[in-house]
Amino acid sequence: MSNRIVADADILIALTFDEDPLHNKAKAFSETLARMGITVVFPNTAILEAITALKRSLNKPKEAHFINQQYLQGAYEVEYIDSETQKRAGVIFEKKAVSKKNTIFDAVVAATAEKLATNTIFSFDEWYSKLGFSSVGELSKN
Amino acid sequence: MYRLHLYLTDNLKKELDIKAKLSKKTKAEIARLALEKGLKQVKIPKSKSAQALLDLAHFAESLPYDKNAPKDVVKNMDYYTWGGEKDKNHE
Repeated sequence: MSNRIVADADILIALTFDEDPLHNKAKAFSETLARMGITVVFPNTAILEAITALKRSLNKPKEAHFINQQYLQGAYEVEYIDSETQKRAGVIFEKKAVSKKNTIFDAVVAATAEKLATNTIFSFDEWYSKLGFSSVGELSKN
Repeated sequence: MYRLHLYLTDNLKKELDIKAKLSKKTKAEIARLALEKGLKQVKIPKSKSAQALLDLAHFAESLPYDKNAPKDVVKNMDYYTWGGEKDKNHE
């Protein structure tokens, strides 16, 4: 089993919205990952997406800046997207992004997981399971 | 400026005294300079990446609860971020 997994922007959003029922679920999964010593990797685009959404659309500027400060302090494990990953994401996006909701950012997350050879994506987006990835829920059952 | 009290080892104090004297700067200036350069070398261990998520959750929980905030943001992130229609299954 890989000791690292890839996470999407929605996890950062879930952790900041304690009003959302998925907040506690995201927190419980994070506790499990911390206990299991699993490294959580974010594509840099996911962090940028979460910061932008929180500040611009969701009116959570304090949380947006907190994530940015964590990033500046090196708290997150970040995979910076190179040209190969973007091209692979582009292919996934063309072939598999059938719904309007499947964005190129989601495809970057999937391409990053492929690049890092991990089969687990930490996200509440059900699209990843359709692509063949496992969820953190399945990981914690093993 | 923030005031900080801390203990120094004998060797650090000696080195600080000497460098302040030789550079004709105050010990505080030398200490600030050293901290500025030294802090860049201190990295948070990467195995703590999941802990960063818990820190984020704790920070969010420390802020005043917003009873008017939507309860379906995560499931309808596309709607809240980009607009369009809500997913009927997740309303």
